Amino acid sequence: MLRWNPRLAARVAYWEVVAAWRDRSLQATVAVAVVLILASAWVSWQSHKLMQDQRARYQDLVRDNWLQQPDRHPHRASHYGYLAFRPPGLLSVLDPGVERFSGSSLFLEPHRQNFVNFSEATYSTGLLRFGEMSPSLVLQVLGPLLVIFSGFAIVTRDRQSGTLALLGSQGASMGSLLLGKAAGLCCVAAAPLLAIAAVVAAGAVMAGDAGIDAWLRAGLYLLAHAVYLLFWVAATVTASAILSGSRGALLLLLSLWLAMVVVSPRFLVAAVRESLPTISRADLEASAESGVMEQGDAHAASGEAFARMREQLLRQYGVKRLEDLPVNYNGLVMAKGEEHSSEVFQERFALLRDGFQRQERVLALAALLNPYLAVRQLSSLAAGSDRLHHADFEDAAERYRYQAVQRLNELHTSRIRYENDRGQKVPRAVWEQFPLFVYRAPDVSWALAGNRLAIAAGAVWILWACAALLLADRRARLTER
Amino acid sequence: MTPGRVLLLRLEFRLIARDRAALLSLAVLGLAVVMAVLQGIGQTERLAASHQRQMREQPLHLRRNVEAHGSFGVGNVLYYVSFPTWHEPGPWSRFAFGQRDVTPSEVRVRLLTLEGQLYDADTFNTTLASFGTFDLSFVFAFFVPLLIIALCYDSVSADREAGLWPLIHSQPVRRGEWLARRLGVRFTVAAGWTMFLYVAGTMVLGLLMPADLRWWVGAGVLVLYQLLWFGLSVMVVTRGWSSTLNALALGSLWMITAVAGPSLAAVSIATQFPIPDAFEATLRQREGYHRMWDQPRETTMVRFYRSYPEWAAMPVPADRFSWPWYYAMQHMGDIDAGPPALEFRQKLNQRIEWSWRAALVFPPVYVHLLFQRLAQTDLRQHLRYLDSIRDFHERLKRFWYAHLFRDTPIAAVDWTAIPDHRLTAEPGLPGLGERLAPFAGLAALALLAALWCVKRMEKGR
Repeated sequence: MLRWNPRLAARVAYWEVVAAWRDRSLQATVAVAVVLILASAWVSWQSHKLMQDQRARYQDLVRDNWLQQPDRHPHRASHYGYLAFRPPGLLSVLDPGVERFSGSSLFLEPHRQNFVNFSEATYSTGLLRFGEMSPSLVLQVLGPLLVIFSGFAIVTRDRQSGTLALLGSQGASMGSLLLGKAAGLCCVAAAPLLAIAAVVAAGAVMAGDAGIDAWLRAGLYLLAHAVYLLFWVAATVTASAILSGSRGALLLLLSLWLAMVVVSPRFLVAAVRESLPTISRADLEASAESGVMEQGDAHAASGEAFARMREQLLRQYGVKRLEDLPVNYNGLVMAKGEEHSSEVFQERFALLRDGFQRQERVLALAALLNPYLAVRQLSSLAAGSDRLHHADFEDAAERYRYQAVQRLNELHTSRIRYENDRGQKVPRAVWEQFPLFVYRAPDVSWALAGNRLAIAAGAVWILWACAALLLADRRARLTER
Repeated sequence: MTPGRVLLLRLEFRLIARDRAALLSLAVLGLAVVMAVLQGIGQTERLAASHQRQMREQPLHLRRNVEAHGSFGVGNVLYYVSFPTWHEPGPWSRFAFGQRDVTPSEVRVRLLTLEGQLYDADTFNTTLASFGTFDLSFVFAFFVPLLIIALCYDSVSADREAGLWPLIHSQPVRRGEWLARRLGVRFTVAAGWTMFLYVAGTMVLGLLMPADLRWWVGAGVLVLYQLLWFGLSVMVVTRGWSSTLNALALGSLWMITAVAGPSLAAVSIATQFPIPDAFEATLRQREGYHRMWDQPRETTMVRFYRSYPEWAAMPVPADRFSWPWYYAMQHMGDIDAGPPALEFRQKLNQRIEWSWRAALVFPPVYVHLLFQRLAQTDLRQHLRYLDSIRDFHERLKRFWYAHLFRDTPIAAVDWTAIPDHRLTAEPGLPGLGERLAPFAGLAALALLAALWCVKRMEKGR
């Protein structure tokens, strides 16, 4: 076990920080990291604002167009439809997640559920596949390199100069020494985190009233990255303590970085794609079509379900002809058909999402072994930019669509007479009765509840960091040979 | 070659065989190639399988809809049925899958306004897509530089650090010759292994055809790329720095050109050339079509006849609904969405152009783009696919307008005569030649600089 000498550890940490402070090349590296963070936050903010303004502008335009409709038949307005634009989340500035891969606009029309269109990735060149500059990329990809570059010689240096042997001969415990070194390295690693904190604070000022949820999310984001960098600090100190030379330590750490950050994630994703394929859009639509047809379609109400409904209505009102009903039969058919078709589509979409979730589950499990995967999940979850958050937008838009369409069907049933159905209109004043489509992202507790495994992975990485330091304590060498 | 020189060469190879880091990086590259080959086959096969299902289903789809909706005429059936299009992945998409995982490959079109259907997204898991693809083109673009760096970074400094420097240079061997032999052997090993993997990988993927110009261009690009990185490595290792510093410098160079730089460029280009025109086109096609419902039928028809004068002699009833009028209104949506759609297209072309420009500074990206162009799986090719859909939609319209205006009874429609979607392959290697020259220039420049560095070291201490 670690023999714990807090005073020695604190002293070592202090001197490490002083040494780092005086080290020219380290100063430069940290400065580069901080500048990169600020620059990435800036471009990320610009891009966020652009997307937000664009989508807000078109969302307003869609609303205006809706209100400016002339007198129309309700079903006409239903087919005219509505467009929902997904507003980019505020914290996607920190971590854009799948922001550019998800679509941004969704056409809401009767009888069917559409897919979200216009993903930035579809209309970008191959560049985007190399990554997207953001504070997250800097922290997750370059952060470990900062730690490695500044710490690979943290123990080997002292060993080569003989300082370590001297300290050891005076009875200093290796554990305290290593903890002190780790603490010192943590201070270096904290620099980019502090820069992020500054960005968050600046963002809070610029965005005005961000709300408590945004603060909680930003806190979670920082915490996840702190744990991530902590692991890399532990790994770096361990490699430096165990291996004989600086060069060996650097090579091992760079290989570890390559394996965890560059190679294995893509490798794994490729394997997941191969082993757990999901249904294609064309297949999904074909399946939905046959599903809708089985139940009978609203525009060709010939199915059994509609026949039963007609019989029941005629009996209920005690009339012989549909024309004599006090309500418009066509509107009721529309409502019934909508109920059916949206059920069919919901079922198919759920199937597709199950497939996605199965794929992501593999990644979540792998995150227990790869801190990069763990922090990626946690960070996009905290920023509200992971696939589940975007799926929530789709759900909200679908709810809005269903309610609006059924509302129009109600108007059709109650305000339009059965005879000469298509020749009639409702006055344009009714368009105002339809609510605005406003999407509110769910709060962080919703996100956390759906991602227990990701949180577990985050916690596991604290344990892994401790394990690495324990290993270092056992296997550390005092002298070169 | 004298026996002494042969011996020296053999010893150089033995040095590499004992270097664990070098062997490890060779093994990792081999493993990555195996994985990439598997993934390359799987991805294209899945696309093809889905397409085959579509083609099997299509007659059923038509029959089902004719049965369900045929009683109201051809026009009513046409509202429901859709016609398949297919962006067939060429054989080289197994090598470079490019944008194919985030662009749709089988857009289905109806006779309705095209601009409302053209941009329909495909279903893909965005989480997976955000990690990027893992095909041979990626493996070569990303990992080949690392292999060269791993083999070269300590090629000069290791002997110095081991204290062998004075010993070596007291021998009657010119320093330049020694350096050339050492670096040459390292490069030969890296390039030999990479080219072996290229040959093996393309062979498994069924792309190894000596008569195919593509294969040779791919090989040439790969060789140039390696020369480029070799040149860069030589420039660093001949500076007389320590192995550690060399590793740091070359690692950072790779970091900047393969990760940090491209990601910054990606965001900048997206921000510089935003595409609100996509939304604009979507909204306009919707307005353009729907507002015609509220106007006299004649207004629509007059505008329609301007596009299709051949039907001007076939008037439609002005006082009631008719299918020709309905589909003429759909056409109005496309007319109104025309300008923003064109603008959208131009922005995308600018994005493509600027990506190539930015990539000149980031060789891994440039090579990736070259491979995608070679395989025709890039955005440019996707735009060709969109054009082919436009063309197909146009042919569909002309085919069906004849039935609609003449009011063909549903039983008289020949469903086998419907036009097919066609996307013909471009002959040769379009759009590649003008991109190769700057890259070759870059590689030559790096090599010249490397040569100069070697010369300088030869003269120096």
